[in-house]
Formats: sequence, structure tokens, C-alpha cells
Amino acid sequence: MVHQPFEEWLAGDELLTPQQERDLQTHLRSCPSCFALSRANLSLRAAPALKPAPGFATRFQTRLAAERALQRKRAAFGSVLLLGAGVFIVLALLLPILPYLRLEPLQLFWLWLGNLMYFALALRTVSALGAALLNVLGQAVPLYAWWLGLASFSLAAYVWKFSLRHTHKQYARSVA
Amino acid sequence: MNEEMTWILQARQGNDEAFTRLLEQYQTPVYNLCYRMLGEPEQAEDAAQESFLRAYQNMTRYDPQRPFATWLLSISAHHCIDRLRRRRFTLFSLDAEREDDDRPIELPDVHALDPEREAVRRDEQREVQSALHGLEATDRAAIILRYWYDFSEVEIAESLHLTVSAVKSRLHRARKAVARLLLANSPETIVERMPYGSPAL
Repeated sequence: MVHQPFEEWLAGDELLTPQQERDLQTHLRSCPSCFALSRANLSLRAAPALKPAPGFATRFQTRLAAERALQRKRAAFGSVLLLGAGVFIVLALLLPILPYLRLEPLQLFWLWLGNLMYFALALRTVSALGAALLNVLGQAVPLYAWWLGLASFSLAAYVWKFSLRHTHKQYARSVA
Repeated sequence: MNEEMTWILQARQGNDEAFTRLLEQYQTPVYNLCYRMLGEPEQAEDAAQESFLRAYQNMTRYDPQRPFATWLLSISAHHCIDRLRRRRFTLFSLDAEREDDDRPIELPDVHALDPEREAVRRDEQREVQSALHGLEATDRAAIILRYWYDFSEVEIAESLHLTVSAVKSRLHRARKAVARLLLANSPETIVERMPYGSPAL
């Protein structure tokens, strides 16, 4: 059975001419599918708008106050956490230095110079070890494995970036 | 400048009283949208409150060139769609466990002029809600915005971030599904085409 233009008339908002109205009613009597569609239209249009229980605004004010209190609490907790982390970092930096503060300036200079030499030597050893390791790995691991590893790493980074952007966009769109 | 725009501008500057005026004006449309989307009064209340909270927190992002109702209902629709999707991923669905859910039973109003007709009307409303419940979340939102709020296809597309052709196809599919579900529930009743009107706004 041909359902057009009746389906379109039923879906649209335009007022029908008397002739179109008659044609539609005739079609509805013989077409169960369009009749059901017409009934659905009518039922949906007839459904009333439901109201919330009285006191909705008051409940919102209560919720807003609770949300603000929570935000204040979060901000206070964040500040305390930040302050604690700051104090911890400062202490962690100061503690190793404290014993040296009792030394004479010359003793301190020689000690620091010794440390500097030790650090430079350690750096040189690590870089030599790294070069040797790379040399061995370069020969042991085939080229395609390097490419594959690098590609996987790039892909993981891209997925991470994309997921971050997607999450941000989704939130922004929901309140746009 | 109309009164509503004054409230909006004041609310954007942090005036709580102005926002309360907006809330009082739009509480029914927002609650109705949430109820039609979620199907349970408690969830609808919570979702409506959350929608207003999001609107309150994002008032500065509102573009005054757009109708406020469209923006607000769009926030609400997105929030309900998110809730429905989250609900779908819940391991144990409470909905599935209760065939006869705990929604308040609407008894016919004995003071109504025709209690029998009133009972039929309430039955039909329950059928409509049940039919909506059978739709996919975005289809449901499209149908609700179309029938309760008289949104055009373009407005629905803007609100739900879809293309106009996607909205057309979703509305077509959803109408057919509602028709099928309503027919399955009660096959009789003769209908006549009525002039359209928006009951919600």
C-alpha cells in the first residue's frame, strides 16, 4: 500500500486543506499502519506536561547551598593538600643540606667539589653503559621491531590525546 | 528588553534571585522532559535539579542570541541521555527486576465530570510513557522535544548536536516504534487528526 503523502502529512505541522483531510481520513480507514501512526501522533500530542512536586525551587536552593558548601570544602582541602605538599618538598630539599650547615666554608667547598666530581664521573659511566647497551640492542633487535615499537608508542599517545579531547568536548557540548 | 532577558542578564552576573525566577518559569518544562525521558518521578526530580545546577554553573556560556528554553532543555536532554546510557551499563538493572514498577498509580479522579473517561485518559498516558520507554535515548529525546515542546527539526538538531537528516530519520523511526507499541497495547479507538498544540511550553 502507498503511504505517501499521508505519512508526511501526519508527521508534518502544516494544516491540511479540507480535501487533504478527507483523503487522509479515507486512507486511515483502510491502512492500519498509517492509522497507528495517526493514533501515536494524537496520543503524544495529548500527553500533558507533568509538574514537579511543590517546593521545587526551595529544594533547588538547598541543593545549590550544599553544592557550594562541597565546593568550599573541596577548595579548602585542595589548599591544605597544596600547602602540605609544599612544606614536604621544602623539608625534603632542606633536610639533606642541614648537616652541612655546621661545616666551615672551606670544608663545604671541598665537599661540594668532591660531590660534583663524583656526579660527573657517574654521568660518564651511565652514558658509556647506555651507548654499549644501545649498540648491543641495535644489533639484536631488527629494524622493523624498532619501527613497530615507535609506531605503537605514537598510537598510544594519539589515543590518549584523542580521549582527553573527546571527554572535554562532550562536557562542553552538553552545556553549550 | 523583555523581563526574561533581564533575569537572564542578572543571573549571568550571579544574581540568585533572578535565577530563581528563571527556575520558577521553567521548572515544569524541565521536569516534564526529565520525567518523559527517565520515567520515574524521583529520577526526574533529581535530573531536573541537576539540569538547573548545570545551567546555573554555566550561565556565562549561554549565548543570549539563542532562546533560553532551547539552551536549558538541551542541557536537560543531554543530562538525561547520559543517565540513560549509564543506566544501560549498570550490571544489575533494577528496572529489569520489577515488572510492575513502583511508580505512583494514578487513580481516576472521582470529582472529574466523567471518571470513566478520565480513567481511559490516564491509561492512555501510561501507554504513552511505556511506549517512550521502548525508544533509544536520543530517539526519545527527539520525540519529546518535538511533541511536548514543538521544536522544529532544525532546533532538535541543534539541541542534540545531530544533523537535520539524522533528526528526520530518528523521528520517523521513533514515531513508527511508538505507533507499534501503542497498537500492541490497545488496538481499538478511532482517531481524528487534531490541530497541533504544544502542551509543555
